[in-house]
Amino acid sequence: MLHTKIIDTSKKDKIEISKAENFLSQSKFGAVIYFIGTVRDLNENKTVTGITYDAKESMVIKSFEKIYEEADNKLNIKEKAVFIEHVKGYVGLKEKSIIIGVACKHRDQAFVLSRYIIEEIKKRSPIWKKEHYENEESEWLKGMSLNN
Amino acid sequence: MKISVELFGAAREFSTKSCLDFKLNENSTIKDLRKQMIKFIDIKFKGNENFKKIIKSSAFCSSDDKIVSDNYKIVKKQNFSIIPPIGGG
Repeated sequence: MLHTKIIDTSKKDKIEISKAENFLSQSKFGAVIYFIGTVRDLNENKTVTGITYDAKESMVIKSFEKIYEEADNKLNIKEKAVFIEHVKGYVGLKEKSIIIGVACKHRDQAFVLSRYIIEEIKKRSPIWKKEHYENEESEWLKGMSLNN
Repeated sequence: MKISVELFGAAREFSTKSCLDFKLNENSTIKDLRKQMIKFIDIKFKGNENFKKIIKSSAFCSSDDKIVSDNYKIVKKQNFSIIPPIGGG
């Protein structure tokens, strides 16, 4: 059971934990974990006021699906429900950029799966951050190259 | 042949449009496309080293979302996306 979506903030779409709760409540699993990424106020000694996220949407969704499928074999977690939403567009300070909700049979599986998903997204999903600072400057953050 | 490259992340700074068009010879590869883009930066942005670094460290993907290598042979009417180093979440 998988739900994935890119939330475009320019279209007034909202990333909300209640959607994850609704989705995961449809599963039969008892161990539920939510990971919520938010915009923090300081990065490399610069005061951050917000982040603009860019995403190659079709590729991001495919990467989410692949990560979900891989968990079957890599983590041996076959029975699971996973909710992943990531924003695209401007996100203000302390606002949510990503919600990962995971439901599994046992808590150890839920912790492992949740951690696996966020770490793999960081490594593989084509999403970029442009940080905005209090002096009105902005900068695309350095990342991981997908060029092999 | 004309090849369109969709811009993402830091590469969006190369243009106010979402895509850039390049003219390539028949039998060109992604390596040639990369060179053309660097030439474009030399002309349009006076050789901006940061922009060139972005191109050198980027991957390219085809319209079916597959990352293609530098040796990939480009055929007519193909479009690509430039994928600068990623870092979401």
